[in-house]
Amino acid sequence: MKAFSITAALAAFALVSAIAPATVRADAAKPVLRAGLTLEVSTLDPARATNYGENIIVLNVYDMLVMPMPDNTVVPWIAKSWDVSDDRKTYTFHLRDDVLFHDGKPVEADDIAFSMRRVLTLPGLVGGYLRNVDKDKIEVVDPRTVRFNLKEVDPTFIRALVNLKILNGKLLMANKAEGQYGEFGDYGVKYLQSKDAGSGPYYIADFKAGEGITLKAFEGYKLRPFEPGAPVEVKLRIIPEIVTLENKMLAGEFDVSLVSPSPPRVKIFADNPKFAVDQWPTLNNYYVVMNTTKPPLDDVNVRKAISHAFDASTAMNKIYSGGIRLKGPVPEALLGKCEGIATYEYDMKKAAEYIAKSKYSADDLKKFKLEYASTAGSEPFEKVGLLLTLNLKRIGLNAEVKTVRWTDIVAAQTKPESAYPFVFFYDSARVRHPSPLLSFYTKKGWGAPYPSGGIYWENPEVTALMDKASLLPDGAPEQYALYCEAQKKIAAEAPAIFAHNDIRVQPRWKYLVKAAKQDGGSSQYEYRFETFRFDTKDPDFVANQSK
Amino acid sequence: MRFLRRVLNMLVVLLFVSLLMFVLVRVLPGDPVGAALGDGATKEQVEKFRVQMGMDKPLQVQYLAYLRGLLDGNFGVSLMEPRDVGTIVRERLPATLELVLCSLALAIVVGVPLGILAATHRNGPVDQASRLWSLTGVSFPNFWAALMLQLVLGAALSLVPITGRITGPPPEHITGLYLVDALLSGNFKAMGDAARHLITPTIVLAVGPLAQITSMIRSSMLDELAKPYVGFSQAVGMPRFLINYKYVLRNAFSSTLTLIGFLFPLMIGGAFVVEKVFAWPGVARFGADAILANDYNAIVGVTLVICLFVVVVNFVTEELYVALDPRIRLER
Amino acid sequence: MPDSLSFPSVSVQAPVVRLNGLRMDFHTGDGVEQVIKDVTLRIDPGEIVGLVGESGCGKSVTAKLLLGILPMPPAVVKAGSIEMFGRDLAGLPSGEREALKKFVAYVPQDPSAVLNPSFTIATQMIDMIVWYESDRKLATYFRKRHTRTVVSRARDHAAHLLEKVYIADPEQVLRRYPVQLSGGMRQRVLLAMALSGSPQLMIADEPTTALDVTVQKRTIDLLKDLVEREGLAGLYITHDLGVAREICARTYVMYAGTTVENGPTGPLLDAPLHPYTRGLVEAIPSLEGGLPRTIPGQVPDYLAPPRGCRFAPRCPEAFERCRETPERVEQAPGRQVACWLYGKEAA
Repeated sequence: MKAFSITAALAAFALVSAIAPATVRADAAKPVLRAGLTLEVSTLDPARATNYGENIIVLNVYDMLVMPMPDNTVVPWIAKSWDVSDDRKTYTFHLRDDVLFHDGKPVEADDIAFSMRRVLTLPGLVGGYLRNVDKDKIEVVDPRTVRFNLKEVDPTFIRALVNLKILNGKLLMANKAEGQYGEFGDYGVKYLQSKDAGSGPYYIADFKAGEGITLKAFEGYKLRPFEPGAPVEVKLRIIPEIVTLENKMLAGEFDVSLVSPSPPRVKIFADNPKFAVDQWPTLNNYYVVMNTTKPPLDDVNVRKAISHAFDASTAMNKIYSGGIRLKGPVPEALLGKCEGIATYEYDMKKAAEYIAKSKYSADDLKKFKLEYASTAGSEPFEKVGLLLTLNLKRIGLNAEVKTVRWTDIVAAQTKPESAYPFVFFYDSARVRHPSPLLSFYTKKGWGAPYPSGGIYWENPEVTALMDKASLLPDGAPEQYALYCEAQKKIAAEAPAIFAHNDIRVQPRWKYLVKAAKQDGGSSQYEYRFETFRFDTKDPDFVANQSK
Repeated sequence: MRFLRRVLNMLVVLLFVSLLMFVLVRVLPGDPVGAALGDGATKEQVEKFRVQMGMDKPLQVQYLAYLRGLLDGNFGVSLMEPRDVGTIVRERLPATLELVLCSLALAIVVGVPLGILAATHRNGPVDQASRLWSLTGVSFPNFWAALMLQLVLGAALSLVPITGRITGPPPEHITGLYLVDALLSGNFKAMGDAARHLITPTIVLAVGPLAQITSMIRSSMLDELAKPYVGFSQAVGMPRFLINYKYVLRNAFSSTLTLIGFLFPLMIGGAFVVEKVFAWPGVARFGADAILANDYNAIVGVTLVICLFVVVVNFVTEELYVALDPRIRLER
Repeated sequence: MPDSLSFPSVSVQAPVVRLNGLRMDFHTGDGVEQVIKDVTLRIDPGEIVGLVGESGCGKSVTAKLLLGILPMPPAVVKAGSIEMFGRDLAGLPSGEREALKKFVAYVPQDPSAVLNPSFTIATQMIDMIVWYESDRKLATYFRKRHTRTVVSRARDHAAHLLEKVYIADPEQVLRRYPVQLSGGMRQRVLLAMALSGSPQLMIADEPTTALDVTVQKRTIDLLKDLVEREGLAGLYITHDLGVAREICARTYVMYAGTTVENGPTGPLLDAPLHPYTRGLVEAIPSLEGGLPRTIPGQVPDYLAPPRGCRFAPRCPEAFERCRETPERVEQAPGRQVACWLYGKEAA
């Protein structure tokens, strides 16, 4: 068998060198995936990664206890199984014994405990998802067993674990720098800025801030076999300008685009026979959040009028590359069947009717200046703002778009006094569960800078429904019925404009026969590169690899 | 003595800029902490971070601490990329300098002869073309041109790489300017590689300045050509070549020199777009990102370093100006 | 030393300059300007000839033509002939025309503006001297200009020339930049430069107007002295009739592109024939006081000049006949006038 493959390889090599010009040829057996990122990679620390590029890198360098699946379930991963106590507050995880970190050290319970403590200690989004875990009661039962205790019952816990990347605790402690965390020093923050401590399918071979990163396949990876023809090396370049990135795609310098092209440019790829364009709905949910604590947005009729005045389909199809309309905070894909939700179709006549019902007179309404804070540098955000404010003016509201830096928006939204009347933002629903998305509409979710985006609205009935649902077994139909009820009550009072969840458009060279093809079950999980596959015999592949 | 006074002047300017920027970034609205800590930071974490960064202290105390740090070459930690700003700038500055200097060189090498030709062959085809060029070139859509050049030279013809500074391994680090380093270490492969990458961004960045230099040289040459000494030199039979290149150009170049002093900071500004489109790992892009992220130390640090270069370049152009024009030299 | 024989065809017997019935048009953006209508002028070896008239009459154009710095086009010779040193300039190859410049010394109007502010006097003089020795070849020039012996010889020559114009410390002046010299000093430097070729003819274009009165007088004396010592012929352009009387043997009066009258300076100014000359003479402020009378009207628009005598619209004695162009007639020996008041039919 082995002898055969060597002969075959030699024959293939002879053939290729016979037909190929005398230039340096890529090794067909070692395909390199080349792609661009439009945002800077400023950290490789799983606890601090925020943008899609950082997340994709972290996702490929680290593994988790559990792995999300496209159908929104989770499957055992480093943890081969787990037990849940009767009060649903204690989770005991049993680990596989064959998983290795990139330095060869086996993944053990100590590392899991270290990783959990680390995210709970460091500031960041991941810690937020896992905030119910009691940091002081993390037990290492034996090298293969770890136990977490929750402060309160949390139906999202297992799903939230998807975001807990497992780090090599021993390596990080050996490389800790001075810091504020006592015996843990800086918790390895400095080290993880540019280096990896993971066990994932790829390791970081080279990283230059501002330029790019090279990942290489980890040969000791056991959790899932690499696809035949999967990239053995991944080169991600920072290309801040998306049109440049598309040019590099066209030139064959990139194999796949990890960001959606703007709608008019999709056609360029669709019309080119060398490219395939995949599309799938994501769970990136877009909302226009309103500051309901200030007049006139404290009036439900004004909010309903505004919801009717929003031309959702233009926003979705002309500004974004298509999408699915949202009916409430939770997209249908996560909530399942739920009927009777109040919807606000684009209808200026209805908008005018609601304005007439408002407790404020038309003259009063004109007096309120309604600013739409548009994130500086984001063209679609601004376009959505113009679309909305234009229609609001037509129903007699004094609305206008104001460009504000993202950091300033985030800061303003943490307090109801400073929160803007309108902010457009999206939530990538990293925990695939209705509860986090709905919780922003209860007092518990107020004030977090992001992703709530400054929602200060509540309805005691919704809070009661949410509390009740959290006590039910996760995934039970009764639990989802309660969420459905909450969604209806929220939608009925229109505390935000529920816009849409968008569609991911992915141009790729056809020789990359398998790439991301649907939502991965959590944000960006469709980009595990060991599942990608090249047709290494395709002449375009051979030609492009050396570019 | 005069030199010493100039250096002192430069230091005062830098000190003033540092104070201005330091206060400005802190007075303007916006909180960097949220961005630095990432989404989902708790209030305690934010407070802890503020103390850690010294942001809880009064402004003047913060500024003095910053100045003390500067003396040790410590620019403070960037919030976007938690490393010392000085280190980041040191890494990224050579890329911007290489780009700007190459573009400036291109603009001068092409712009000056073009301006001379236009002036000496007034209303001829070169003059007409250069006047059109001056009009359109100054308002040239850099961004669009960059993408078009990428498509044509890069994607369609495969003549040049679309982005980046170098494909292969960079040359041994000496100055950080790849061309210079490659030359010094005799690594001609890396030199060719770096040069190929430089072509398109250099052209794009040079377009505007080139147009400005051409029109400046043209108009000051025309001014000079109308001066009596030119007619006199012609009347006594001096050759055209000597008149144009020895007498007139020397005088016309002084004003262009001042322009070049102005162009340098403008080009660093213009480098932002070019660095973005060509994924050029330079300091202009970093500075622009810093402003968006409200990264105090990075904004102040980048501004200071760019300011230092602007001050030095102005110093050099002024000295050259004086060397070229005896009238100013004699007045001192 | 510069060799005056390096251009063998320069004749020393023939008139230095002879313009005969010259007519020139200028093609401008607005149309054709008929600036020079009929210029007839002769300069014999060793004599200084004056050219007087209001500004805008074509004096400077004539000077520029003789200096070889009149751009052609836009200027076009329509009729007549131009001879210098016995050679017809029409059809002379440009190289030979340029070579003639070496024999022409130019003393310009504004001494402070014609010196290049960025170079020392030494550099400017040496450039000229070396160029005159280089046979009009740039390569030869650059080679010589960078040969130390040539340059130091040229420098000595420059110092010698400065001594000729009575500059006491030539070495000091050579090291200076033009701004460091006084106006009179600059004018003397220019005179020295004018001598650096092998001049046969000196063209002085109102050389004293930019100077103050005391310096004016000294410069005129120096000029006269130089012309006599070097045996030059001269064309002295001025609107100051007093100066013309002082240094010019003969004088031409020019109006709107026509030399309307000429003759020995003294008689010409004492008893002017042409109404225009009379007008000019009457415009000189007299010591008895009283405002000078000026000639009413102004120089015509060259785009559409009056037919016939161009002075007719301003002439107090104009009559029917003046619609036609008067011929130039010899009224007395060496005295010519172009006016219908004189000549066969009027007489």
